Amino acid sequence: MTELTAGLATGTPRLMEGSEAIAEAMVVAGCRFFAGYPMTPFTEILESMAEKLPPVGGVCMNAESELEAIGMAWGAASTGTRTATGSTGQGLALMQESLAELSLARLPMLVINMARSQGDYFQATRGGHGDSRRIVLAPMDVAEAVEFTQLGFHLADLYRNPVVLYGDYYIAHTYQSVIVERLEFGPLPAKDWALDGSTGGTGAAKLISPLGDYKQRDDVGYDLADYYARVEVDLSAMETDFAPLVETGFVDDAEVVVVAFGTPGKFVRYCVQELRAEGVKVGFVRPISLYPFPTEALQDATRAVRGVAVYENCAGQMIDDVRLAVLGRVPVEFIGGLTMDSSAFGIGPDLQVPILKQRIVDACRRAGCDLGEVPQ
Amino acid sequence: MERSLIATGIGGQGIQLSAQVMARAAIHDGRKAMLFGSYGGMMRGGSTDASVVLADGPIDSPPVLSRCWLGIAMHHQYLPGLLEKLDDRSTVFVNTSVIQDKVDTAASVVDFGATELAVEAVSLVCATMVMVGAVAAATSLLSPEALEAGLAEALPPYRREHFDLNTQALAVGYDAGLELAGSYTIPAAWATR
Repeated sequence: MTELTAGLATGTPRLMEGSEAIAEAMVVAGCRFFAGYPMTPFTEILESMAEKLPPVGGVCMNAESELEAIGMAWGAASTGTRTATGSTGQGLALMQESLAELSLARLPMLVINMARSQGDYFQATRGGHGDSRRIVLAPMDVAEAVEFTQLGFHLADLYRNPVVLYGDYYIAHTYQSVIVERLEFGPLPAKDWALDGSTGGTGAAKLISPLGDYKQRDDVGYDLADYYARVEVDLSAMETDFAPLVETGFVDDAEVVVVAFGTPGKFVRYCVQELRAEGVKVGFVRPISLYPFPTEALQDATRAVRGVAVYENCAGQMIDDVRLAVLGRVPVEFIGGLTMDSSAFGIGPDLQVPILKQRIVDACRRAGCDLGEVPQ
Repeated sequence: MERSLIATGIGGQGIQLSAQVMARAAIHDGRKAMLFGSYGGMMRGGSTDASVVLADGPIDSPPVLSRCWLGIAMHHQYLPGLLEKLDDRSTVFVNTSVIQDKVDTAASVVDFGATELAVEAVSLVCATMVMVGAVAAATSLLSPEALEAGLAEALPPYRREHFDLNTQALAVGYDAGLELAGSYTIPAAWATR
């Protein structure tokens, strides 16, 4: 069980832009290798890491592409060094093969997606080939990003598996007063698998490969069936052990529950608070771990509702997980849609409190709620 | 309690710097701060605005504001975008040195010739900093000590030589703001200081 510690930090707060705050959180978490290729809105994280890592003895590489960036990160991670890479969705697309193979090689790594919308949900939660899976954390603001960055490294080490941090343009470029200090999430197993330079013939050599952690005789090679079966057991154990993270609000007597994640989740949360003050019986569920998805929490929150509304800044992807959780018990309606300015870097002109409130109120009416004196 | 502000003007007036000063100053006053700046590609003359939220506790407000408690209007060019976000509970400080038409809004309007005062007492380039000083004093939003500390942090290293000038601008604006508080009914930002 993972306990969140947001708000418990006691140091001096500083006004930091999200990108810099995430970079600093990586450094205090002990990250000593970072590689990436510049791409808005990820670029400032790379720039910050280039500034912050050398003074603490770390290395930051501006790679020639995202393929090379994650390739370099493979090498660093296999030595047991806390390692991270990242990009935006397009760059993450290039990293999907590695992301899946990292699961098979059992290498921990934090992979940051500073996404340009929420249309990378499928990529984040279902990406990669084969049977690979990874935890995906989605902060709603800079303060959470600072915490989840550190939690991401912890979970990666705990389960020897990559963790994806799903950010966006707002988190990258919003300044917020935050306390960045080392957070402890509990004990971790020793990295006795890490390569230490011992070579074959010394009796101390170790093998890290997506094909296996031992070789049979040279003329036989790896036993993939044995290895993949063991990885499958470990990844399934991760899913059982990790309790999905979620925030819920006003759900106890809610007639309609709105589901949203990330920065739009922060907008929806605010809209729901205002609508409650205006007498609308609405609640919210904000998935924080997108994978594993907080299915049970969503089931609990929607047991007695008239309907569920889903907001995403894309054509609708998470809504599939919401539908799977609700299993047809109540109607699930999509109230989102892709909104972005002409740069397409991630600013959503429709991401405005009055617009979202109106969509939520309309969804409540369609679900059959009696809204009485509500102004809209 | 959250207090939301939007400052607007044209690129080059110092809107983004002033927002940095206010957000950083609030932290020195023991509050939490959030700032989201939005500006076009042009350094000078393009649209620029900054949304700032200051609070006693964790900030619930999303980064993009659709209405604000206080508006700072430095230039008429991009004023309509700010006016949309004001209502009858808002107060807007209008830089009457530049914005010469009457501002049509339900919000309470505080007329203040920030640019003229800056030219007279400090320097033209400090007009927005004069305005920030005035807003801070008239609403008790930020203490003078915190403003100076916020300025020290907000100025980039290659602009350090302008620290004294901007400190003076904040002080001149602060004194003017105390006078404004005598001539207008301006709500106090916080229940206690």
